[in-house]
Amino acid sequence: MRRSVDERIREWAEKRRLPQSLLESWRRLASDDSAALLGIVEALPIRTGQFTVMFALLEEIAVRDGESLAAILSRAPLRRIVDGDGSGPAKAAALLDALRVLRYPRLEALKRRLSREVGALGLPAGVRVALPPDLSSDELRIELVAHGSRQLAGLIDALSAARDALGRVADALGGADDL
Amino acid sequence: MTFDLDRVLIEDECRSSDLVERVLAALPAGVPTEFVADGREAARPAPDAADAFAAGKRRLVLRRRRGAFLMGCPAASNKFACCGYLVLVLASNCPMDCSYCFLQEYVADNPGLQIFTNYAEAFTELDRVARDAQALPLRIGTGELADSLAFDRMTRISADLVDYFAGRPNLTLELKTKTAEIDNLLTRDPKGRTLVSWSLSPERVFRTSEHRTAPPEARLGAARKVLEAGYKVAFHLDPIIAYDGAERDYARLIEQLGDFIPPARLSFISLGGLRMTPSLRKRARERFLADPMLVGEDVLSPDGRYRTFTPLRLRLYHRLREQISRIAPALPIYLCMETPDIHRRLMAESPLPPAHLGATLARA
Repeated sequence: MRRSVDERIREWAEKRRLPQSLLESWRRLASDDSAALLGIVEALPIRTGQFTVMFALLEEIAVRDGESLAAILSRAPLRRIVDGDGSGPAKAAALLDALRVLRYPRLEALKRRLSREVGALGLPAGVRVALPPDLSSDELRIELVAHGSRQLAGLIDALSAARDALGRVADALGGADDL
Repeated sequence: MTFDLDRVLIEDECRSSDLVERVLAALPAGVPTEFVADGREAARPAPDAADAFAAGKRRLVLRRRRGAFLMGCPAASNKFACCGYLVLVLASNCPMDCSYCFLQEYVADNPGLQIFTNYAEAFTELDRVARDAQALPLRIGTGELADSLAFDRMTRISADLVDYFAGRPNLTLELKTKTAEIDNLLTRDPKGRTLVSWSLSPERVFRTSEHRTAPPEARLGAARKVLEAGYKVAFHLDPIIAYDGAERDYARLIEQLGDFIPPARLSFISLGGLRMTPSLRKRARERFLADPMLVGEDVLSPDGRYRTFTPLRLRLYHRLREQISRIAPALPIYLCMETPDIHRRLMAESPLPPAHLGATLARA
């Protein structure tokens, strides 16, 4: 006999030691939504912590976009991850990344762009350029780690050569760009 | 505007106060009243209410205030570039229900709508402050822990305040509101000493998040009327919410503002991005499950509050500042609850010390 969606949810939650409050929230969803979520956790090896984050992201996207969880989970970029190639853990991680991009589209796009721009500068290993976590401030930190005056001079020269590009990054942190 | 009340609780020792008489005379028929020994207890959260904060908004408590009426702005901090605002606490909590409101956390332990019957005692405190400040202009507002005008139809406190401040050359009263309750104001001559300010948001934020408030256009219409009656007028674009399309909507809002109020006659505009402590954010989301404005691209900031990530927040500030400067080039603009670094990014200069900015805004 086929087990009901609710039985399968409870079974998964028990196996993963899902907090009771989260299980209740899952079971309170509309039937399509709870089933869609079950389909994901049965298809991928989602860990308890990942599920907690995924559930919160999905709920927030649903509120913002006025869509059901099932509709969000059926979006093409997410389906491609779930149905695509790759290991289960890698797909679970990629799904969470994709949900985070959906939830924070402008933040994630800017973070990725700035990281790419900093990486493209090809600065030596002794120069560390740190963007603020989650771009939660406008502060750009640059750390030089040198062993001796000759190495320090080289790092300063490299930094100086990257001055304009780093200036653009600093301005972008201050809201200079279209987002 | 009238707000639904479940009941009115009056502290015994306030039975004969003028304010109680005025409120009871104006109270809609059918609202039960009850006398209680201690109004502070009556303002506590109702233990049986599913949403004790919302229940508090329908329970009016008229009581004597035991502590000082005048205090520094609760948002002030040495981490922020502050505006030197002083707060006159004549009431606590608000009958309107904005999803993002900090009162959900700030007065969670005493959510009853309280109005202090001995408010006239505040004038003694104000006299002392005015004397001590000598010639320094001070800006003093009643709209921090309550809306300044929400119950003015019943209390008529605004008239006493406007009359008092009209005779104090170094004090400016700020009445801050999201209502269009200005009838009592129109009966007084403020003699340039009262400023009425409105918190203003785009229509979309009003519709999703500012429950029981007056629509933005009604606020602007009320602002025009009080301006014509001799009051100063200012606006708070606060909280600025960075939803998709916000830049366009806020630009339209500034245009609309300029259509209603001659920009040269504005006193100032403040800007403040949506910020929430983790507990306020949790509380607000529990109370307003479907509010899309509460699920923006907010991240935990160095000050421990959730804010829109900085480049996007600053981008909106820049656009708003440009837009405001286009219609009112000399208008003072200040930021609320932002750091001096953010201020410098936006204004290209260091913020004034709070007392100086406060004096500037009081004179504006």
